[in-house]
Amino acid sequence: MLPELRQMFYFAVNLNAMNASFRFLGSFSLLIIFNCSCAQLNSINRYSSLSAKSIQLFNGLGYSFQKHCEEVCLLTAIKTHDIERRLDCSCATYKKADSITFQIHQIIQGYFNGLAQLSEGSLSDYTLTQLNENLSTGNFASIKIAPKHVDAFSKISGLMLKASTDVYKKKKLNSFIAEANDPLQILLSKFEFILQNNLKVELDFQKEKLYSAFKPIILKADNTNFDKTQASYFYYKKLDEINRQQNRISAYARCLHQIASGHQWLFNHRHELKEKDVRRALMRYNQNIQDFSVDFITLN
Amino acid sequence: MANLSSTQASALAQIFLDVGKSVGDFLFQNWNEMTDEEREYVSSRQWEILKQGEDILAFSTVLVMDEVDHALSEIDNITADINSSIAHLQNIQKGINVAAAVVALGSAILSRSPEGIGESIWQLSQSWKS
Repeated sequence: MLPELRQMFYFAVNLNAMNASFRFLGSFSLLIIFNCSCAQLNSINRYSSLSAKSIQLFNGLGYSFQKHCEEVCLLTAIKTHDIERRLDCSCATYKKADSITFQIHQIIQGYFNGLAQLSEGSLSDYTLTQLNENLSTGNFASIKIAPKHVDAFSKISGLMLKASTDVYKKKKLNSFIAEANDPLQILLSKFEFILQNNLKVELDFQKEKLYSAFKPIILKADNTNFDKTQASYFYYKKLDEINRQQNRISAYARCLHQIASGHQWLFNHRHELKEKDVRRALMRYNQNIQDFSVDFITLN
Repeated sequence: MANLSSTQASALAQIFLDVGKSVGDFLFQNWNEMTDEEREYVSSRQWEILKQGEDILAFSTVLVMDEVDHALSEIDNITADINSSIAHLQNIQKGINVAAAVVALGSAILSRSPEGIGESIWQLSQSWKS
């Protein structure tokens, strides 16, 4: 199944790149104003389209802080052999953590969609509806939003607004990338931290609670072999599910890391961009992003 | 007195996760040597330690400590020592006392009491050395 899925993913990406290339050729006159070569634009378009597509995989993560809270609440009920008419879980702070994570995801997604459209000269199509709400400083469950995150968020929002109102159409694409890089790196790094150090670690706690809830069933001498078999079956099934979830989070976080490195490369070399170098460097990042995206998809 | 950074809170939560696992290992390794009451007691303390670790993550941004780096280093050293051998303790009562002392430390951290944290670190160290 893995090779087929890999092929399907590559096909989808190539198809997207082909479509982008046709649209790109159709709007050639617009591209002249970017003062970047076609090959550079094509490479940047490929990188940003692939990044946008990979960032979108977040919607298929299938896990959230709220879901974690509910699952731990269920495990606690199992551990204490408690049955009520309704499982009462207080997960409001976890729900808030989800909404903050979603906002950060949306702004990064918006930026890469914008960069993809800008590199093919069609940013006027871009809508800013998803960027209406500003990020606020504060503590939201395990997530801390500091002033530097809020500042980065508004800088990207502002940049997108400027880009959609023509300012960047008169400038080089390089300036757009240069202005976005610092705030984007802050947001990508925060997003990666939330996933790897907050959400994934919550799952480590869940694994230990699962073990702690089920191990006594195996050790209790008066439990039947049937009880023990059922307990171990449920335990390993659930453990496998959590491990897969953690691997999915890691694959996604590695993808974000590659996207950040790709953007940093573009920023570092913005004054000396040569067609061949851009193509070669971005191909390497694109390949890594594709590989981690495929890892993510195959873990579902 | 200073707030914990996100990275320091993650490290502290990891310490509680690790020591929670070790207390679980102590419980399950010594299962046949314990009475039902002892098992229940240790099991409940282990669950509390894990819950405290999750709460440290959840409330990480409002937690405070005196000389954060020093306090974290002390907690790390003592719990690393505990983790290395608690599972094979022959002295059940000592294991029980250590589990209770970890819970007391977690409570002091979550109630944002710098004095309580210092006292609890000392108590934990004494329980382990006794």
